[in-house]
Amino acid sequence: MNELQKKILNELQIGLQVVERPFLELSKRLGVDEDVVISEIRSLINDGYIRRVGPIIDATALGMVGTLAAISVPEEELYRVATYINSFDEVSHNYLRVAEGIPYNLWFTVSAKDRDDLDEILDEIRTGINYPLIELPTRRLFKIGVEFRL
Amino acid sequence: MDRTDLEILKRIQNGIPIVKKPFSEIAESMGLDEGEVLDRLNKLLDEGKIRRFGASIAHLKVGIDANAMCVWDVPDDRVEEVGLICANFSEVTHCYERPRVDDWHYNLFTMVHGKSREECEEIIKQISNEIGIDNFIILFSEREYKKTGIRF
Repeated sequence: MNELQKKILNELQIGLQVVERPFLELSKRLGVDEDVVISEIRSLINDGYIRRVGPIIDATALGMVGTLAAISVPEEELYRVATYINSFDEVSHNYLRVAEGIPYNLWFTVSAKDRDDLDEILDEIRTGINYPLIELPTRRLFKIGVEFRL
Repeated sequence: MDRTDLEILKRIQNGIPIVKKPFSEIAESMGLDEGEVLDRLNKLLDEGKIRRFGASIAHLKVGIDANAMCVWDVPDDRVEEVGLICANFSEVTHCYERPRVDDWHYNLFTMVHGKSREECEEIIKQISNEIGIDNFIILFSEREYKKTGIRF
């Protein structure tokens, strides 16, 4: 990644203006040409540094209901179980996280259109895998911010 | 938030085209005016339904290698105070209170991003000192099985 690409990534994390020519606005802040910004963003996507440029949606504000969940899965079953969980479109994140003394190792987030839908998905997962599962919905949100500065 | 808003969000949830006039392209593909699409999206931004327009980044690829979920056992009457302190650390990207259930006792979750595990541990040590709580566990992300936007 070059210096300009790093600057672009930082700017994109703060946010793109929703205007006719958003990349022109961004290019003015960076002091380069619009075409350069566009081609650098395309490279960042092609090279896999950026997954997409788009809206970061507040699922709760849209009336969606979600939770963090964790399962305790034996190591040899991880791949199968993770693949099964990923097969649900409502699962947006799924990570292996391991710490001594903690039985739960597969951590995933589910967002559904309402409570019933969420319960249905979690029941299906419970039935489908048959390992201990805990639900840890957000009680209070203290921070959800920019991911990091490069 | 109406049907058209939802259709627009569905249309762009996987990303906008990287072209000079992305919203014009989107509007055209939906048979809408560019101005209408811009107005609707800016209203959703104002209302907070869209947090921001930006990039979803592949952390591992970018070299922000370590991603620690640090969970804390915070006395219930201190959650508000402690949560706000944790949120103030720039390395803490997310901070939530979650319930204690079954055999799970940790009620405050902080996500810490750093270039290395050591860097994350150092930050967590600072947080621990500042909040005066040393009952915590660090769960590093060992493998990313899935990371997408929210589908609706």
